[in-house]
Amino acid sequence: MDQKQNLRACPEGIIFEVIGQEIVVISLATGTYFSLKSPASTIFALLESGCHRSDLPAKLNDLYSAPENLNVEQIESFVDQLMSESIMEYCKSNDGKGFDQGTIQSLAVPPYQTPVIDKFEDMQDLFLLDPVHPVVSTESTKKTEEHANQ
Amino acid sequence: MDLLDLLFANVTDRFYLIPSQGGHHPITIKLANKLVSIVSFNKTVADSYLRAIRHLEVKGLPTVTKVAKERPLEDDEFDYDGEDDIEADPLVKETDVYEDLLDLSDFTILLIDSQSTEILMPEMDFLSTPRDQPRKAFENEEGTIIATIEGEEPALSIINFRKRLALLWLPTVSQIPGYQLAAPLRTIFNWLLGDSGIQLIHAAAVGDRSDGLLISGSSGSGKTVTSLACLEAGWNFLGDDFVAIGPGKDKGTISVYSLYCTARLHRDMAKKFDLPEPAVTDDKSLYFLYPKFAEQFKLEIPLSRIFMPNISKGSTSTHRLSTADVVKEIMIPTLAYLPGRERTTLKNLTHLVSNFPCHSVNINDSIDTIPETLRRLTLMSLV
Repeated sequence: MDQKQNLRACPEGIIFEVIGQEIVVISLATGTYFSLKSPASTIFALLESGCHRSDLPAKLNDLYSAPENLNVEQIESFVDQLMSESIMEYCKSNDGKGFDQGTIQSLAVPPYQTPVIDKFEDMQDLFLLDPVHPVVSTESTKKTEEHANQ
Repeated sequence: MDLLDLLFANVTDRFYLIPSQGGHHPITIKLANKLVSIVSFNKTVADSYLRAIRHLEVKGLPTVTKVAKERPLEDDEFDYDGEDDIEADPLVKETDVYEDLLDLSDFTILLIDSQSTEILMPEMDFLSTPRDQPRKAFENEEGTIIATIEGEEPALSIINFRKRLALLWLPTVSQIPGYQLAAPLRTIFNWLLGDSGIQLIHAAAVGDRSDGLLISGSSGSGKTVTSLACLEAGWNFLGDDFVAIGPGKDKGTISVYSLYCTARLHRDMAKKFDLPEPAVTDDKSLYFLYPKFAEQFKLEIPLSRIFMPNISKGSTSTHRLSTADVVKEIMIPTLAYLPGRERTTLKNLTHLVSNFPCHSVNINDSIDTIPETLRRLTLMSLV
């Protein structure tokens, strides 16, 4: 674990938005999409806003009013998963502009549960498809061809 | 200067080489809230390739009279890659029709093909992506130029926001697939509308009186059948596969904008509707609904509902889509079909689905009942 560097969403090919109380993350490189519900969404938002991973337990403790089931190892494991899925990566500097405080608080919906990533791979084929369809010459395109060849 | 700036300069210089005797064929369309001029250099290409947007044509604008002007060609004008791969014809005139059109419209698109103009496309290997990776659009550092290629024989789409100019360069015009004729220029349309908060979306749209219904769902889900059933029932029609969404006339409202006057569906299914003869048949048949249904075309309508149809033999039922389903059925297909500016696309789509809950609707497979079912659901308060 790098204790000095911050994490942020991978700039290449990862896009995300808050929809209701979830954060949806889409990998443009693979077509995989992820749904992060509370507290996974809160952790993602905190990291994206410049919070260091070692500060996550304290921040979550505040946001969820000291939940009894807050488990540091589970948080670490979740952050590792964000990295192994290429959703987040270490960066030298994170400007902390990711999410405003109000959004982070609205994502922190109690009760606190084990953070999980819901991963969906069912649309990968569509994303990887270059829409090359069967082609048949038609009257209009034949005329075009004739005209073009004149 | 980065590669995209050079590519744009290269393609516009090649455009100047197009022999002027073929003439130019401009049309001006109302694309959502923008006036867009499209210039092609072959009448038959214009007639076939732009047929899907003829219902958007704005007539009665001032005629462009200045078509070409003399301009001495610089010695090094075409030498961007250090090779003399194009020989400059001393008789070539600079065609500045697009500059004139810019005075009349918000944006100009040039439609060029190598087959009829005999001008080769520039080298653009750097735009290629491996087969096992998604198609990608590339942007210059300033974010003023975007380009992408698609197809086996790649067609180039490139836009320059600063010059308010885009080009679609087709390698050939003899074998344009139906999906391209059904929704021409969609990538460029998405880029040029995106900055003003108007977003292309992979969905059909119909209008019942003043209610605009967005019919979402991935390919094969029943968007076209649903929208054609409503068309046959006398409803307004805005599109069967791609429409645009964005701010409406009244503050705080969202409107749906028509883009294409086409419908693509399997011929067996098409027999259930009173459609004109198909223009193209490949994996599906392509039907041009304009001018036959001209009176039912509406260019803009306020959005009331988003439905995702599921045509089945069961009884009618409805449920609200989960966020994951919204991403799967609306966001992913739109992002997959429209490369470039993906963050803007996701932001615009998020704004849409945050304001309009999406409902899945199981509809009885009797086509006649579809419009009445949708009308009833539109009037209901759905949770």
